[in-house]
Amino acid sequence: MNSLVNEALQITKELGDVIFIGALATYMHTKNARDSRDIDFVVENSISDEELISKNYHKSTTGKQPWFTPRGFKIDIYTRGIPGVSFDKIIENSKKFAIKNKKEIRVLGLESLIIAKHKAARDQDIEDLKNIAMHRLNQIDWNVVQEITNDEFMTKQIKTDIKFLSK
Amino acid sequence: MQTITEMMYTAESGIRFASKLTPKISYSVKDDAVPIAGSISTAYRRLSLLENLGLATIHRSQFQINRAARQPMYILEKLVPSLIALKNAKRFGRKYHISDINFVKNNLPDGSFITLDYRAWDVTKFQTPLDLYVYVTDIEKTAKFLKDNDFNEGTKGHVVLLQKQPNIKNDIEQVYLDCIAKGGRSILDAIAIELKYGEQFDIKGRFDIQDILKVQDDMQTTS
Repeated sequence: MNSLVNEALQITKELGDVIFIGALATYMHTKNARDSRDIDFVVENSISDEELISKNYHKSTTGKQPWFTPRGFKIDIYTRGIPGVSFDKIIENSKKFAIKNKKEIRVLGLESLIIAKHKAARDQDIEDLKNIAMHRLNQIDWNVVQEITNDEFMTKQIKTDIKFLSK
Repeated sequence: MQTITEMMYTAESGIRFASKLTPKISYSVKDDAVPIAGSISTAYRRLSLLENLGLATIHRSQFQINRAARQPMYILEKLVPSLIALKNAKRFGRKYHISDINFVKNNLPDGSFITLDYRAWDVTKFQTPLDLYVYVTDIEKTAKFLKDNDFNEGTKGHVVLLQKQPNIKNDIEQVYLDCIAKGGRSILDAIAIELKYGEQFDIKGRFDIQDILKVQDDMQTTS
């Protein structure tokens, strides 16, 4: 995972203050996660293809034509909200993590991450939720979860599931 | 000792019960299980059958279903040895760091067999590994060896001992079945393994199409 974190630092340096989501966010919050070596992030202001190309990012000609960083990491760039979390809330609740030599990366907030994973609820999301529940249960601010979901029933369901997964 | 067929026969009502539950992360016995089972005592009986096979985790009045329970019966039957090995697994940690894994890799007992995360990574390079799952011939002896070397048994360690199954015929197929039985991110490993080695397998799991497309796309794309 260290190579992914170093790559995230490089991306931040090249593209500005992006917000990392997905496996990297899970890792930064738990220091304990698996990844498939792709990096997902949200940008506050959209980045044009020309800008990416000028920074040596390139597009694959196979599959869904994803973008790759100059060092060959596959990236997915989001310019909107993610399931369960609006774009504004992603920005508002993001969190900065210091990495090394006073450098930092910005990551999806813990509560936003939980909501997004709970909404997706695929096998891999449930494993990530369990990981979060086991390592960060006491750090979850349930008022923030409620504020993001704006849905008491959903907040209660997420809380029930997370507490169960922490056992 | 029950054969796998006998175990499946015993658990059949539990598996049918599980198949009627709407997919959720965790369930309430009262709100989710009783309406299907008919009564609280039947609900707990069904859950107990599933728990014996490693297909359910029950805590107080809540439970979780291993999504392997949704595989067709003929596949589930093949998963039983893996499910039971995982249910009886012992997890160990010392420094809770990669050094724990390196220590065990350098001191693997004779006849041991690495599966799940690390083996899947070796054969697919798809998803980075986290925990070292090792089948060992004598789980108690290996557990003692680890404890003698300052490892503690618990829930957060990265070394996991599994009781070795007597008749592992196809190594890769065994890793594939273990991945399906474990669920979680290992499902993506199972798909990656099937994409690379599927023609060698007698049996193939059933996966969500979105997951297959994701793995297929990630494995095909090159920068």
